[in-house]
Amino acid sequence: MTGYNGRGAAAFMAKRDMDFAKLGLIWALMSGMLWGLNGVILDQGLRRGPFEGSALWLLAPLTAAAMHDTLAAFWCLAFNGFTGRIREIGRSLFTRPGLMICMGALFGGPLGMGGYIVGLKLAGPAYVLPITSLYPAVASALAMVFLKERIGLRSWMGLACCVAGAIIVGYSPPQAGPGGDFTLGIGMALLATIGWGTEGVFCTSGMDLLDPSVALNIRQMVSSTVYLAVLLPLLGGWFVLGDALATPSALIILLAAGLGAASYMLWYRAMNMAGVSRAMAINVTYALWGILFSALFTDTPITPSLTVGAVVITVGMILVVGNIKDMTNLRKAS
Amino acid sequence: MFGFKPPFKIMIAKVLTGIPSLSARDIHQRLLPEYGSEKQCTLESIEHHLQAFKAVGMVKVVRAEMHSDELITHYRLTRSGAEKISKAFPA
Repeated sequence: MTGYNGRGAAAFMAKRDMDFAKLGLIWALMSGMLWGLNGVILDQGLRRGPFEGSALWLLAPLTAAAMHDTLAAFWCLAFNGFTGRIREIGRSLFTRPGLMICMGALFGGPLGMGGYIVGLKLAGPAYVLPITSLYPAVASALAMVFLKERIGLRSWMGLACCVAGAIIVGYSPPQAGPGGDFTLGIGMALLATIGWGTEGVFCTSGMDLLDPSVALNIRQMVSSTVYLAVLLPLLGGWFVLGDALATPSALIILLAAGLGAASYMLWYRAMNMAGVSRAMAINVTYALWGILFSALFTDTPITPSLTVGAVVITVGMILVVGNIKDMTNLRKAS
Repeated sequence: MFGFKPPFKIMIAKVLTGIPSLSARDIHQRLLPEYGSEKQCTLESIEHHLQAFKAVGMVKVVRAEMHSDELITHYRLTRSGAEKISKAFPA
């Protein structure tokens, strides 16, 4: 039973709860915007040496992903140092929630990103982008089962709209018929979708007891370690990394990593404050923001599919947000 | 492990273990001896973590009162919160 004493205590508390939930939604939206901008800038880095050229179709994006996550880990370290949380990293790493974050890092980093990159090459973006856009739905289903998150019918409908909008915005018709490795490519895209969805649930579970900024730092450190110590040596990619460090691409990726770290930090905070399903549904709007920023900074045209996708995503977000009062209790009582 | 203190957010919940209820200010006072030298150990960050605990059902509000325009909220660990803490950080 809850007791309220003094004039307006109940109303004051309700307002504070609502403000907390609203802030989570704002963080999720900003994280999507920053991720969209991150993609535009990262793309500029990938169009330059040593990443350009089809010979390095696998190594170039994996090396860029390794550089991105490593530099993002340093940006996070700087943030945590500035905010007095640097000692929290060591304290948190070997706890049970810290290990959940490590698992999330493995699912989201090398498995998610690795599967996405290989899937893109083998099956093409026309098939891989729509499949991987489904990761918020996977995450929501997992959050409902494992975190007991409350997700109503309206939220599911909103989530479906956000995913459909992201597919409409990002879809490009296939350039050629499916090749021999097509099925493998689709499998890799599914792996990426499950990886990213699982990352959200593992990390949100860990963040129940760990500060999101610290959790993200651990995530980026684990992910970059696996890239640098396992994946790149296995694939012989260190030479690309060495070459990249001496080119302007490194500075572009440094900037993208800063935006990526900020985006991830807001996304992790949003999942902790607004729940996995809402934060992911709003975060997936990065597909829209990415094309809007491309149109603003490059010669990418605004197409009818972009406009339709934007409308569908906006409707989806309104449905997902729904009644903010519902967000003050994210999970079913156990 | 390795002689580290527990993470700050875990300690906020752990302080509530076995106690009827505490406010953010009470928790701050109890954590000051161990974490007082750290920039993160503020009343605001404790309030924020408690709000996050409340949203996921780890704590519940048992009493709230206004004291000269300031809302003082008293929190209690829920059963699921206590289970989570004991799994994450066994005594």
